[in-house]
Amino acid sequence: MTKRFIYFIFLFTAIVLSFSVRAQFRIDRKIIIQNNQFYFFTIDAEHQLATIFTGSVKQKINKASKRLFPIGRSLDDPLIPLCFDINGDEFVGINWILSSTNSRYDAIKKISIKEWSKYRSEWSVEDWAQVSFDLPSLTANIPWEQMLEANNVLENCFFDLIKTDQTTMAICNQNKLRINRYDGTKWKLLATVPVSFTQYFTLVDRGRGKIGLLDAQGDFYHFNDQNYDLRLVRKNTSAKSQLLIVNKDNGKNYIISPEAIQAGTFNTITQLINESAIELNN
Amino acid sequence: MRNQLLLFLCFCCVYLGATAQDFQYNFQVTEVKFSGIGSIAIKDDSLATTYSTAHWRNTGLREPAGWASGNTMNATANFEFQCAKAPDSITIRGLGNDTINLPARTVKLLPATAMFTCTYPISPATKNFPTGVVNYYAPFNIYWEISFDKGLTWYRADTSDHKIYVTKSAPMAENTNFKYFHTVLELSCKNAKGQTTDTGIISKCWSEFTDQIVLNHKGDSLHYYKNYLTSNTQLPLLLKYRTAQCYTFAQLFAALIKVQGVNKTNNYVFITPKAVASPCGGTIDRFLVKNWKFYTKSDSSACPSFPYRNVGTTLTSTGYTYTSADVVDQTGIDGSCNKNPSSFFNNHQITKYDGVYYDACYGVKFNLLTDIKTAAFDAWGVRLSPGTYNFTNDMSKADLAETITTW
Repeated sequence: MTKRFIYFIFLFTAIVLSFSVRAQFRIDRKIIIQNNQFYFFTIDAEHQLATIFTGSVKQKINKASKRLFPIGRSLDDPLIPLCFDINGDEFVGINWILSSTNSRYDAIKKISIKEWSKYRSEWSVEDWAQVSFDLPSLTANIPWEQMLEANNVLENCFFDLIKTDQTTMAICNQNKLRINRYDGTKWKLLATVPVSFTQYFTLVDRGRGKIGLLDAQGDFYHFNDQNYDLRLVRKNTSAKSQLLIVNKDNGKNYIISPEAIQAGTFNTITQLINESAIELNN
Repeated sequence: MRNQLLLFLCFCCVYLGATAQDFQYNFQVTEVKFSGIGSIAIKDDSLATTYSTAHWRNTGLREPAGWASGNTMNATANFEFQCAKAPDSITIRGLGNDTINLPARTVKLLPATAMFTCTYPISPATKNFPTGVVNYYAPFNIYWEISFDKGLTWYRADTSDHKIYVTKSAPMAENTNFKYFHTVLELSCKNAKGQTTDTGIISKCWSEFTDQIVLNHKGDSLHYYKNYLTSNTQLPLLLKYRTAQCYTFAQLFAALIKVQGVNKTNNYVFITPKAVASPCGGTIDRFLVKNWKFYTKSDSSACPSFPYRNVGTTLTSTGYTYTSADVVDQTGIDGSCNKNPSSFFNNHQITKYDGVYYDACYGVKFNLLTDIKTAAFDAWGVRLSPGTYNFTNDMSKADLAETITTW
């Protein structure tokens, strides 16, 4: 009887712990690996701020260090996950926190991860939010402004951004996808292509200056090199949505279901890729 | 013979109880539950509870129920019946408001400790809520009556009091931030009671905001920026914390309309200054909502078009502090439950119905976007660096741009 009771308590505790650990990881959009470190973000369900999770690819995901980070996104429908990229210490992302003092025009932020991942016990979440609005911009959000000039009625409006040697931002509104590129001095609209997205999409760096697009269902597209038309190259057969894993160390991209990560938080990211991820054909 | 004696004893018990006004202690309703096609799964404002397990208990529970009009209320109830000797069964009915009654049902009495219990089975009311009409019952009283002779003679036994909301049509589908919150149903149905048209509903729901006093279903104030630092921008957070930004009041107004099943697209408007480069550097990206006091133009030589400069601006929970300031916040236009809400913004959210802009935070409406800057703003601003802003009170220097979505 006593043994059974102890076994029950052990099992119950393990289940509770397991759920509490898993509940920590509602990863937004993608995981980036560079220099054998992984980076991902979660978003608070009330104050909209991001938490950055980092750790070695050799360590278990649930051992990742986590800190509030001065970036965030809206909690409104339809969901647009946090738009970001990481290169070395440089984080570039779109600060889409809804606030009467946050400027969408200045929303494309450039942030030092090292500097802004420090623990600041004296700051409230409201302080973090105000700081995030005041951080310097990489560039003005011209793609957004130009999209609004073309059509200020938002319907099925989604966007994402990646930064390689140049910054690419794509915005979809009312079935038109506008692809913009920033060369460090000015934005250029590369193309406007017809699409039919009803959920968010994620831009994918395919290397050699080429980009792809992963939609919310996990379908993967290549952009045509000349006119940027989208060509479906991989249909996702799983009914589950997919997160992107970008491994900048080997230039490969993968998709993985959030459920696989939640079930594998006691694994390393490398184990998860080997066991549960699917490599995208760049 | 024995049964007839028991019946007689119970009759005496009821009769004596009723005349002595203590019959309620002998026959009492203990629980009422509602259901039925078209019923609305109303949620507690904190999202902790969906009111569905029980709507009324004699121990104090009071939870509202709601239906889309044209549907029928179903109800079931439990009773306790104290009588030394009870018959096998009794007949129960409920008389409600507007002759929406619960029909007579004969039920068995089951023995329990020192009493009998019985259950009025799930039964549809005798008539529907009239189609296409918003209604608000506060209270909807059900007078429970019992009969020992299968409905020939009725005795008033007990009363249960309910809050019942009836929407014009089935509410729009819930999503992340639009839920069938108790306060949303309360404010919508209370204000729009009797309305049969979309325009009537919009007009009456708007009246909730025009006195700048918006209260939740408990009568607690919903504050526009009680705390200037509030980061709450979703309707659920306004209802949960009762202090929030402009986004949430626009959403609340839209929610009052959506919950009536009124489907309006392009109803949610984000306004911000048109991104125009300022002569002093930066872009015009701030505005001051009245009232602000303008002192010396300390930057008139360097930037004559935006001559007022504030340095070291810091937002606190109760206002603004500065290292130096040419423009200082004064008691402003009343916001919801706040005489001097936050008033220094990059953007603002309002709703738009049939071409009219409704600003629910302040309870005012505008026919044209350009009317807003002249009626409500004191200045345009330019952020030159964190905390440093230049302003002009020449409102011709900029205009508002609108981004329209459907909420």
